[in-house]
Amino acid sequence: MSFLTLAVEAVPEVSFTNDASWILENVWLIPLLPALSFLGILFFGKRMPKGGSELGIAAIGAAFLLAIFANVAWMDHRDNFDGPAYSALHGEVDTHGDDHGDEEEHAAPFAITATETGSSALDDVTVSEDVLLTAAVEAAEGEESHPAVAVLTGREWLVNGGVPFMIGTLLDGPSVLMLFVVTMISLLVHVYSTDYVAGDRRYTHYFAFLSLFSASMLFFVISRSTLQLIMAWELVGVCSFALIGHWWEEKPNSDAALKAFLTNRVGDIGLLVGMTILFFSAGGTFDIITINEMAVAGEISQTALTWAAISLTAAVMSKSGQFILHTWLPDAMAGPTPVSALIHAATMVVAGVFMIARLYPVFYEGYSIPGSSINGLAVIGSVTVVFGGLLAFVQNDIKKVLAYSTVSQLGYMVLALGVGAWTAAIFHLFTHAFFKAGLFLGSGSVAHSVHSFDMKKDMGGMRKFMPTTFKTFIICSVALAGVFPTAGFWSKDEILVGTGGLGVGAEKANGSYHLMLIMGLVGAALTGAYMTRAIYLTFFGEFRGHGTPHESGPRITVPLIILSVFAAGAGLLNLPPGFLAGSASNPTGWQERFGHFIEPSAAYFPAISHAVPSWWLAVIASVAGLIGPAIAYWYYFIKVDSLAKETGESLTELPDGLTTTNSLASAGHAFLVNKYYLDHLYNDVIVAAVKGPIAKGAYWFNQNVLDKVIDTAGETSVKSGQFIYDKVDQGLIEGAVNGSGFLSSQSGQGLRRMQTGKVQQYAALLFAGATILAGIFIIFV
Amino acid sequence: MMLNQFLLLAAALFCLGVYGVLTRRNGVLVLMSVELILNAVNINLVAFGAFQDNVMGDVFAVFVIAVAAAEVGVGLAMVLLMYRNRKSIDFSEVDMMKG
Amino acid sequence: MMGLAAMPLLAQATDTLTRSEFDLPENIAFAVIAGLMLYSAFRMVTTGNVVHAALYLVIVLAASAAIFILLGSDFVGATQILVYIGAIVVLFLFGIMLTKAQLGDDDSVENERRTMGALVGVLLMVVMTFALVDTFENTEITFSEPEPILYVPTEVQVGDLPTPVVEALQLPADAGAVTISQADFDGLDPEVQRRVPGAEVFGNNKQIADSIFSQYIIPFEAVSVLLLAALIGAVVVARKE
Repeated sequence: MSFLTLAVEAVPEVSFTNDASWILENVWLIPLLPALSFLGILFFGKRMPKGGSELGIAAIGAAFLLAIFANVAWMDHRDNFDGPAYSALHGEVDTHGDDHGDEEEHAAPFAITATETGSSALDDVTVSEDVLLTAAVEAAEGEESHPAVAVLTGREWLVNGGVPFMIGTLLDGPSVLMLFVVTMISLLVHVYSTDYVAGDRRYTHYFAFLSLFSASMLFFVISRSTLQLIMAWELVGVCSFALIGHWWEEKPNSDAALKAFLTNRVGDIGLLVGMTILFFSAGGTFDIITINEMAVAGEISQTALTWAAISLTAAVMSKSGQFILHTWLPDAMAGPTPVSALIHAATMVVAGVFMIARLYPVFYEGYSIPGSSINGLAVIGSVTVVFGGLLAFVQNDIKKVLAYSTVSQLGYMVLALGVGAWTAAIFHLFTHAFFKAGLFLGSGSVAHSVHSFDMKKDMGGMRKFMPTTFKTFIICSVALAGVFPTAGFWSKDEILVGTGGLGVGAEKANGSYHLMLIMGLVGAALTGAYMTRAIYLTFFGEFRGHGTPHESGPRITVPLIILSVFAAGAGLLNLPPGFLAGSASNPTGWQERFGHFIEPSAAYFPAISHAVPSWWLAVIASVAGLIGPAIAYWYYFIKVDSLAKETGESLTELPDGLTTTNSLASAGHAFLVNKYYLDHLYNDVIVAAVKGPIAKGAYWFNQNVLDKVIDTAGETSVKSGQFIYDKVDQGLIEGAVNGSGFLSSQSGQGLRRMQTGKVQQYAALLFAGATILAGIFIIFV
Repeated sequence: MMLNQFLLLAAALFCLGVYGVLTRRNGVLVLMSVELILNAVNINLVAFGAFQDNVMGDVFAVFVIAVAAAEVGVGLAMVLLMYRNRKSIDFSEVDMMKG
Repeated sequence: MMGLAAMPLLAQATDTLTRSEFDLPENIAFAVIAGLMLYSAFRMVTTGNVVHAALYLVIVLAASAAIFILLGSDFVGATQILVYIGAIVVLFLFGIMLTKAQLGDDDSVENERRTMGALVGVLLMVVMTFALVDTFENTEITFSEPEPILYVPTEVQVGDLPTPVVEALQLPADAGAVTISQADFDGLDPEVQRRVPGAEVFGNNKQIADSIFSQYIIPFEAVSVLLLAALIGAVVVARKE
């Protein structure tokens, strides 16, 4: 493939460089810091004045600073890089159009300096030769002309069977983004934890694993090879196991940890199979860039890519809690709340999404995403969006509401990746990290003060006691529900636009995923509804718990405030085109800055097209996103609340649902009448005049039509949520899990008789077995 | 000399050691049988070292001897502990692993 | 104690005879050692007397030391005797003593799985024999020529020279200080060469030492740590609370 052909295809033909600024070449320092702090805390933590937490915070804080430097350096690198760049497939990429079929890296540099005459062939002729390619020009041309050259470092780790195993870092847009997100959330969680788990019996142990957890995830996002990915993936799993089971003395907690671990093992098989398929189909390499480039260039067979994508999807389903392997996620709430925040916002569950993003060409080509209207990834994602959202309705545990909410939101990300909206998925990952971390930490703050997670039994009216937590929780909830102009609005809208469904203005989308768009809209409505319910149950009404709750200390509230600021404002980083256009000197302004810096538009990334946002869809989505909260608001804030005020109790739901609706409404009506008794008296004459057929008609309409519609809608969603929870989640999936457990227990009973406990008999059987096996090998092999 | 005569000797020694490990009740005798197995391995190592005409086999045999010494030390300590706790070192009486 | 008694003899045989193409004496030595070894090993795993078992173990270990020497690995043979017979067997005897084993014959030294054990052993032997015969058939061990002994000519008093050297070179007893030339040295019998001052005699010990302390330094260090750990572990496990 010659250079010029590539330029015509508008695919940037270089992928990586190994010549970048110091920080970009040494990002391995970032995971190293928390890894060292893990060891430090493990060995010396108990002897430190603050039990090792100070070391953990210092390490992750330093890592956070480095991550910021890396981000700044990356932005500069993204726009201004003009050093030598390489392609994994073509090796030496030079300006004379020569095609050297070398393998990796033993290549002469390709200079992308615009001053060289040859390089103008790279861009359209309109680019003047001595003007550096800026984002503005790109936007004007509607094309990425300056490739985002990844920074690749590494050294040979070992050679086995002639295959070199490289270990090193691959730094590109998604990596630097994740470095920032992980270190930031982790830092906040560290600080928060010093208060939240203060006085815990395994305080030091907790911080040690928090450090290792962050280190594993940071290692994951800068992995250069699929082997490193697998290693980090498993490390993340182990750490989550240790942290979910932090209070293992209680059976449910250790069960939850085991469940998380074992469910993830199921998916890990998919991961191993997928990576193995990729290894062999890519001609024996673990290098992510090489695999990606080959997938983009069509040098891996479609069948192999499809099977690899399917296997890897299984891994994502378990790791990122996609329906049907999501069951571990709500159980994982057994861990300390800050850990839940970390797992749900930055580390564990986003690993799956990040893996798809990292190996995106495999999925993009394997599932034939462009031009299609349905594929495995998108279906799983959209089903998860709706089911997760429905399940969140029937939870009484505030953390479980949030857990199912995470399931649903992860569904959005997977959906987005499934429909080809890569940037939207990563952007949603980014914004979701802030508001979900904020919600979890907020729920932890509430639970910390009432010593329970049960919204119905022990919460209610918390806004009076915990004003800061309340405010931040509201901001994060609004962001989660996707209300303009918070972060969730922009990212969710981009996802919906990216589906290209129903032709709603979304031109240039990768396909036309109608079903996904509808499911996404339903999910948006559900999100707002269950968050409204959770907010009512937690913060409104009267306090139902014991004792006097009080606002948490600054180590808890400050992280909450920071997160809520990000939750409110992070969406501005990726404003769609046409929104708040910049000044004359900077024509693009803030438009799609995020996508520009994060999306790896280079030879190792598919040439995805970007959907054009439409005001239409934004309005529809906003309306859909408001219908849900409106219904929930009606049900809780108006009906339940008024009933509660009437009865003087703190209610959490209407006593009997639909059957009592009318009497309740009349009670509410009577209440209203009582409240406005004076007004009634004043206006007796006027009212008496109007209180004829009109009022009666309006009242009838109100009671019988509006109420019914709204009640039925509310009831239906609650019922269907309950049904799915009871039948599908608890019945079918749990049944399958329990069934396999029962089966192995029965077969175990049978085998039990062989276990005499006599060591020598075991040894005899061992030797006999080994001998027979050896004999078989000798004879047949 | 043929390589096989040494290897077959070692194999026979190994099998006798295995027999001892499997059938002896007395813990100390079991450990002694383990020594037979280790010795068989050593003979193999030295024979192959001589066969390949280098000292690697010798070096590893020395390592095996060192490890065997450590093994006997810990093994006998465990047998002693067992004796102290149960007043017997009969391995067939120990069936705490019974399922 | 036949194994021990046979050792000097064998050492001599190793030096003089092993390097030839066909080596009947060595094969005879091997047959004797192997027979003794297998018999002792068999007795060791079947005898009812614990102390006898320990003594049979001594024979087996000594015989395997003899096998090592037969194979030209004198260093391993010496280590075998020092470490195994000198230390480990003593440890076993301590173990027997401390656990108050019955000193006479004991009918119940074998458990009820005797048939199974025998079966496993025989099966294992059959499989291994088949594999070995199948793989190596009649492969011969060819012993390489011993490396020439290095010699640095030095001036020595004839009176200080060992008698065999003096006799071999036919030096006059009153010659005073002489320097044996390299040519004279090369003409000597290897056995006599070793005794000439200035001859560097290391055998393969030098090679073993070289490889342990260069190529295998990390395993060596690991073994030393292992020994330390075993020492501490044994103390911790066996001490009285």
